[in-house]
Amino acid sequence: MDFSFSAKEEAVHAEVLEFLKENPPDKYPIQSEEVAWGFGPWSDEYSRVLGSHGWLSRSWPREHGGQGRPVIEQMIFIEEMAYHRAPLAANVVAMTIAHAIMNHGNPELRAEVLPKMSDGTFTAWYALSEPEAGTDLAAVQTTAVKDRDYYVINGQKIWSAYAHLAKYGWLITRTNPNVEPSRGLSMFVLDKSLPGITVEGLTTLAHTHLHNIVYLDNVRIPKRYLVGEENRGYQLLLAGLDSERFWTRFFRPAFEKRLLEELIEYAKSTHRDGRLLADDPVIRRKFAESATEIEASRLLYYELGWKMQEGIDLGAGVTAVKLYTEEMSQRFLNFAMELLGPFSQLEPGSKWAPLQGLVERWYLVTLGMTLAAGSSETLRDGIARRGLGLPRQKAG
Amino acid sequence: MDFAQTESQVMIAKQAREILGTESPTRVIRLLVEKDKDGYDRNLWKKMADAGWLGVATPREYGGESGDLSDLYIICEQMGYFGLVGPFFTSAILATQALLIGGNESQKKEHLPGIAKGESIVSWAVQESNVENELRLIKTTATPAGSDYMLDGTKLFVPYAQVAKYLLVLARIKGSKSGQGLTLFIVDANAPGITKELVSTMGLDRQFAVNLKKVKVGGENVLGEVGGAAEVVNQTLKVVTIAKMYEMLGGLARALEMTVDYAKTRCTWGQPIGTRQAIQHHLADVFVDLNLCRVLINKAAWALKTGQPADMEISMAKSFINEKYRIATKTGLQTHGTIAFCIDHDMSVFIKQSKAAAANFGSTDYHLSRVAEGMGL
Repeated sequence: MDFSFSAKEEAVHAEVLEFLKENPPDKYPIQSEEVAWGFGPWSDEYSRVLGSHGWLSRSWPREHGGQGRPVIEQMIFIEEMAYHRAPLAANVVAMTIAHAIMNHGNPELRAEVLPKMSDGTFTAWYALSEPEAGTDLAAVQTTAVKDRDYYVINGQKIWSAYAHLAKYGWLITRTNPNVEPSRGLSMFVLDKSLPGITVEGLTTLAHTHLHNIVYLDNVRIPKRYLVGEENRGYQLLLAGLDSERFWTRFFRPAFEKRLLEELIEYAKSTHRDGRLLADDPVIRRKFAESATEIEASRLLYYELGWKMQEGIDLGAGVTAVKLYTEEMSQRFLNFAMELLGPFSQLEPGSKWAPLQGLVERWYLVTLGMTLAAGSSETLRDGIARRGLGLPRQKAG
Repeated sequence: MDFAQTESQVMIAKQAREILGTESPTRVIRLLVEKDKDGYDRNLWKKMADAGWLGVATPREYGGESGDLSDLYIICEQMGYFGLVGPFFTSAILATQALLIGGNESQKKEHLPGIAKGESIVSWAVQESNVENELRLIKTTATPAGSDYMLDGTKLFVPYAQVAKYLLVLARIKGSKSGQGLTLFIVDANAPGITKELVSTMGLDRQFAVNLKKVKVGGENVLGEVGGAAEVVNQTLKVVTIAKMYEMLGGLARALEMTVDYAKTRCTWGQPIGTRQAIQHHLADVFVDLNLCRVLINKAAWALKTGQPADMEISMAKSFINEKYRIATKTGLQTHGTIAFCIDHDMSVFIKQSKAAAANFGSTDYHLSRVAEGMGL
């Protein structure tokens, strides 16, 4: 057992820090809000910088243009980005679907899309949930009807985070309405520049433009954009679930560690009602609990990353750590709000808002995280069945 | 980064299951422990000695197996899994580590082989009624008398004092300035002036209050340096706390396993209760906790092994598992229903051990205070 980084891993760490110094994130324009949670803001420009330095495909297999570098190294790179609040939002989805395309995309699709994923110009959103299909994703109603060399798409997606900024959608559709729902779905890469696509923004309670409704009106997708086999889309989705939940979340502890450090500074320099916050034993205890929870999450993610690297079955591990990390984040931001006292309610923009109002914003954002990418209830169901082998309830 | 277990660890875990695991082992262990007047199963003790467990991390030159501390931890984890109690913890871990860390050559040669063979049980007497962690406040005194010392005081939470051959007693040299003079003495557990009072505890182990009245100890029985005990005690406690956490981890895993098995078979309205979402969700939470506890404890063990202070890692892990083990047993009780409220039910063992373990080697409050300090607050 070794919790330290090897010399090679340390070298990657040093390389990332050097890269960040030479390419400071704050010199690049962003297209989303400043205060995006966990993955930093969205920046097409920074995405291309990451791409041009090879960061986005280092852990890909060599036969697909990557360097075959280990999972842990990829984790180190992204963790450091998150700690520095570098813009990663534009790359997160692409990173998680890259392997699905490598393993299930046809040669034409791979040749077209993989280089763009590598150079940072392929930005994507998850076009999965619909008004009537979220937790029960197999119930999607968006149809894809084969018409010679095309599939004609009709329907509507909701949530679709960052669809307004991304160039491609990871789209699930119904290709066969005559079978059990989960057996009639197909996965596509959707080029947003195709005619018939309308993106309508939704505003979150944190005043951010994150979510969208996406209307698909007779969108004609060339058949080469079908990923895997027709009607095998749900299986593709399930197979990629662990990957999605891991790669879009594992750096959260690093992001929180940075905030924790800022909160410690705040507590050590702020008096309230005549006492330094850092001297309050209750506050000290909550700090200690937060630090422990963040560390626990980080360590479990690394253990899982190592297992992925070694090809060891993850079981319900990713589901477990995702469930924990989202709830832990809510507890942490709740503590941060309490620490800030009456100032916690101030939105970004006020000169009186501590930490530029980030705590208020992130507190709200974390509330949505126990719903995204698998609600906590769904995840608990999954752990019970997959991790503990508990049986399903029979009807009646 | 590497999360693999060593071959040795895998082998010892397997061996432990074989030695400790018989049909309904926890119940068997509990009955034997309760039946015996001294509170431990002597047959099992002999088996453990023969398997080399009592000296697993003791160098061969002192009668041990020259194994790793991680081998010791695996044994603790398996003991926790079976809810086993006995003098193993105090003798094979506490006293052994104190001797290895602080003892001189002749003390190690005199005491360690007997411990490893299981012939000698050595316990330790450190805490007092008003002192849990602030050692400088202890009141037991050692009054110099020529080259000897006379010990006076009352020690609490001395495990298995009744069967111990020796006690490692922490006392302060009389007349020392505050915070100085802390010394560990190797004391004959049956020396004149020693009285032992059994204090009944919630965990199944046997704890004692030990009263020392003018107990004579030779100068050659000072463990390490006069006045240098704080360091020895602190270092020993690091290993011991980690060992205890592995024991807790084993118990937590067992509590979950028992409960899942029960949930799969116990039926209400024609279906196993394990099909019901509330039960599934409670158990899922314990599964998550088990995974988190494991990585935190593994990191603490690694930190100590690699020569780091490990204070933060140990305190993070102990404060965490204190709560999670309790919750796991509470979930177990809730899922089993009132049957687990009976003293004859194995779950009752883990319910009580979870709190006893939390009370020993640092409460949640204590460890969280240390984490806060370590964070620079």
